[in-house]
Amino acid sequence: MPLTLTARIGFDTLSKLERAATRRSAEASRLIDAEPFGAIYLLGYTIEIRLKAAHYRLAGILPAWDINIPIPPNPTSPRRLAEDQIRTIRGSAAPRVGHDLLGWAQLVVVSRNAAGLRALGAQAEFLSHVQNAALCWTESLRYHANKPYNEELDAVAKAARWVNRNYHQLWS
Amino acid sequence: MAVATKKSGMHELLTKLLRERLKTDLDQPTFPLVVVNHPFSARSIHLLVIWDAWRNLSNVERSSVIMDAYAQVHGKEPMPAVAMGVTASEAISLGYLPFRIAALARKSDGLSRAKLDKAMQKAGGVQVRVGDGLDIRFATRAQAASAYRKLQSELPSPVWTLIEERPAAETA
Repeated sequence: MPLTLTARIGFDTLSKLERAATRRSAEASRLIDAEPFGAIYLLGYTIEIRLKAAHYRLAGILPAWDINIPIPPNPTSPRRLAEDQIRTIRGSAAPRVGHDLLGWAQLVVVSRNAAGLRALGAQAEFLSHVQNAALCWTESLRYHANKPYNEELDAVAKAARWVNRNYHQLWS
Repeated sequence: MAVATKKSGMHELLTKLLRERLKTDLDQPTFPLVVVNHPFSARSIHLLVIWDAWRNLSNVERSSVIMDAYAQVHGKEPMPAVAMGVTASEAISLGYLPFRIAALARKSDGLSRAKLDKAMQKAGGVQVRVGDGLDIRFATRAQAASAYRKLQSELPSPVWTLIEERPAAETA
């Protein structure tokens, strides 16, 4: 009996995140005219996935490593470690950290510093785009039917385009 | 050209106002609300400024004002790694105001809504109208505690309730 789709996708890795970001972005671009709300939903995920992948790149995680499994001797998985760091960054204001775009963006800034890299040349622009997207996006959009304003679609689309285009600069 | 001059004047004005605010006690809940976080090291500075004066400025301009004001008060080393400006309503959307004070008054307390509202308006924080009354919201526990003490001093009563809101459980 063939494996089901959920079994075939396997565990979460950095390289899968990078490929998934490309797919979510392509899917979103097909929805922009006909289903703008759905497009925003996928564009937000594109940003989230790129930010996560950039952080794992900066943290030195191997592309094929399961991010839910600790890397010895560390007792905590890369994912859990990242989410704990976001709670530290955001303090008691931390929303649901797995989907906190601003929290992940700030973690990328912190991780660049920890990796000994210079601050991003376009750091203010980077945070600005993520801030704009975070005002329009939450993972719970999927439970809703609504009609976004053109400016909201534009803001999230621009942010996703910026993060896609500058992805390599985020971690190098 | 006229636009550039106007922006520059606004930049200078806000920088000056923020500079003065940064010299005062940041645990006081007066505007702009300022949060300084040092995640992971004392030299790592993340600044958040909640202020409705940001309304007509882009995120990048807001960040630039914060950086300038900070440098004028604390010098250029170390500069904040993250400097974000959000309006009060943006702060609520982004989960940056997790502390709130509400007046849970019964008829037997003998306090009119108007009297409670007046005391809350004096206490600082972001005012949010809830039904026929007010809530006031804060970015940090210290700001909320300071407002709570002011309320107790202005109108000593057991009706004042300080609440820390936690985000709902993580969805997928």
